[in-house]
Amino acid sequence: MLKYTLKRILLLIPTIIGISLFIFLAMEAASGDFVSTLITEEMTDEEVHALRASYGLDKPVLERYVDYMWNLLHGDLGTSYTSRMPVMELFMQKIGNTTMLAVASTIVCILISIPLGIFAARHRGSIFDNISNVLGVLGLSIPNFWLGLMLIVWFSVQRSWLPPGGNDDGILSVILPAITVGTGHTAILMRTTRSAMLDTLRQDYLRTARAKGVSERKVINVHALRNAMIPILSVALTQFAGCFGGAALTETVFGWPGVGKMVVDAVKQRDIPLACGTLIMKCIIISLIGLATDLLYVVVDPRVKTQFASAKRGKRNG
Amino acid sequence: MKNVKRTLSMVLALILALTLLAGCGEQKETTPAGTQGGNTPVETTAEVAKNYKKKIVIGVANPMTDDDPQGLYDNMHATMVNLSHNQLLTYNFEKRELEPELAVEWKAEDAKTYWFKLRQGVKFSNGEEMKAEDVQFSFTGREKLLTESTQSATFKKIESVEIINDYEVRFHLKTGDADFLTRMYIQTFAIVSKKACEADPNKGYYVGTGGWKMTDFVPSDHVTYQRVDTSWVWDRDGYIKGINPTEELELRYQPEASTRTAALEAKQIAANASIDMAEYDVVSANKDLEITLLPAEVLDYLIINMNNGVAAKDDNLRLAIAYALNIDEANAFAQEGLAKKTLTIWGSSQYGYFDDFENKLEFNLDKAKEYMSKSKNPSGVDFKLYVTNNYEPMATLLQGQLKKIGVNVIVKQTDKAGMAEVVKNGEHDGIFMSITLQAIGDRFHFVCNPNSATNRALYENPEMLAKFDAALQEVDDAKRKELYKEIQIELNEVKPYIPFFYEVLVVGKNKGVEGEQFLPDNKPDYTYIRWAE
Repeated sequence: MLKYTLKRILLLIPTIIGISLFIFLAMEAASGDFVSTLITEEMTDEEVHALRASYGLDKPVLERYVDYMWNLLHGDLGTSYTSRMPVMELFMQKIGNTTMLAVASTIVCILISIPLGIFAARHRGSIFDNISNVLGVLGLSIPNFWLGLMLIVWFSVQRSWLPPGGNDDGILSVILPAITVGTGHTAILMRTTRSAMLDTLRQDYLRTARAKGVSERKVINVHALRNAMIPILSVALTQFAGCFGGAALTETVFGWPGVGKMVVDAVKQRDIPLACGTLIMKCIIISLIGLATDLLYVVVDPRVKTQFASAKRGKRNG
Repeated sequence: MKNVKRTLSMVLALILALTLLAGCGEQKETTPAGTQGGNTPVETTAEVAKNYKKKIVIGVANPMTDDDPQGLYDNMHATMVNLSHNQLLTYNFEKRELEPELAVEWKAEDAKTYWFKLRQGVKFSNGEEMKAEDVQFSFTGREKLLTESTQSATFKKIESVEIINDYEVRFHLKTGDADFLTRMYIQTFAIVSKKACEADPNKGYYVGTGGWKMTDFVPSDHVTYQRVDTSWVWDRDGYIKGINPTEELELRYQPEASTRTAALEAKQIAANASIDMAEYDVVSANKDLEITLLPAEVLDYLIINMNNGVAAKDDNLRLAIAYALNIDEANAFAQEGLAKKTLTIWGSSQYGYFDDFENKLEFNLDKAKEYMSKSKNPSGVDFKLYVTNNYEPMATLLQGQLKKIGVNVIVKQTDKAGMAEVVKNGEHDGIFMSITLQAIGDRFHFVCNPNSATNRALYENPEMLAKFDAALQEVDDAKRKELYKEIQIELNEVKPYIPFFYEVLVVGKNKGVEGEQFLPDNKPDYTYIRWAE
């Protein structure tokens, strides 16, 4: 187990090198650089060259990349071109907000999708199952952007119940963004829960449990759900990890000060150190969540631990 | 089951019908107000102050990235500087003239020498008095401004700033610049405190003479200001009587236009200087808001590549395009017909404005077809038109208009950085974009300058450039205006640029909000903003 964990952590090194190289090359391939966004009508070509040199953008891309990686090795994620502030400081300012949004949207998602998924599986083919299927498709089809704006109009503009954006009002501020992100996720998780439960509910051991007089609630909540948990956990945590990279649109709609919006702005402004540094940090977080997911399987399903142990024994015995 | 299906079908049909009906709204007629209001002075005694909100949030469309007042110059950063710093002069867009700010008197001794007498008793936010040495330091004491400021060209022009006494300075320029005085209202030429900057080179420039001091700066998110009670701006005539009752101000980056509008309607933000024109009808119907249409110094225009574009060496094609463009239709499409058409690229407040041309350009499809038939490609031609994302709908409209004469417009989208690269490589036949104008006569020096980084028409005209240079050296008003007139006449004949109209800005605030100044150059000043509860 420890070896597996270390292996996964070590895998981060080539991942980071790959990601940083990809971002450097991709942003280099995009037309224009950071200085292009600063040019004003009064500047001459000479002044633009001088400005480019002051940011080191006159050097070849590989030289800049090697410099960047050298600094990264020393724990320095670089300095943002736009704000002239350390990338790590900028990242730390915003990662808390993104984490809050990720946690809140995952809670919304789990609270709705798991009970609905179980209910739909238990009443397969019923009108409720059909309605939940339709709702699932609807949840997947509704664009986050549109839903966010509609929620703002309904709950902020028309009823003044919740703030329309920003993060000034504590927990109240996160409700609408969390529902927006959570809705799409809810649809997927509900369908995963439904199908995982359907597979489990067909198992003989549940019939046996019922025959032995175990209550239906216990059969479902303890025996069936726990066995169906691996795909559910896998999807839920993948979605949670995805929030760190994919909530940029929601963050933009709600003016939520998270890292997603920061990366979008960094790309628009061709701020390579900010885009690269932030994506590296996101990559580390997402990888760690992936690792935590794998480790959680062991807790949720003891069979996984047994598989690990037998694989280890098999190796030892040649 | 059959009944359920039938009920569901009926519900869906009803939803569809309601959705279609919702699209059939009545078009509201609008009238441009075109005022920059909100300057009603208010006596702010302690008793009166209790009736106002202590903190005000303002939604802004563009990210704040630089906290240095002398660094970046765009609408967002100018708005920030308006709060915390002042310049030597200010510009009154209604009177179209320069007015005193930190300088109370000024004089152009010749095109290279400018004298200023400073306002006495002005204090920085750190309590120090502003003196001549601070002015000298602001223009010559910060070396990085020579390369890193987007106004580096002007900083480089300054040979020295002579201190005559504590309250008088004289600028000596390396080359003549008849626009130098007008430049002094540009926010980048803010006066910073010498002592504060020397003590803390990284944050010392936060100390200014404005009514507000920056207390928190989170790039691309928000910037917060605390009121400076000792600022001279609270004693200024015509703005406010006493200190602004607002104690804290926040500019919050809300990139999505609909979100800003919703935040305004939900009273989360006090004001919004960039409401989407598409939302004008909706917000103007809201009785809790005061929505104004402000004629702006922002020009929408078409640029034609004069170097290697398809219309570069084809005068007839350029004329065909110019006559085929229905600018009234474009105005109705993008600006609800409220924008003011123009024949010159000069701004209406810009020094040397002239538009009384003999050959006035009017939409005329027959003439367009006639010129097209005389062009090098009478049977039709492809025309690569580059736009930034916000002008994509306009590009589609132009595509339809030019198709009528056989010009096949291929619309290509890019962003600001990408556009610079397109121009550098000369990949375009045309560009549609906007430019924020200034009162400066020399604003368009770049349009025929081969060394300019923003000569997007790639137009080289040494004679015209010589006229621009001569105008910059000329202190005689009449002679200088004559030079700019000649330039505008020539540009109208050659047509490397086809001006469309000056945009109208939709600006809005909640009822009870006063003191904001939405300005035609789209750089609002919120120094005196207050919100009665």
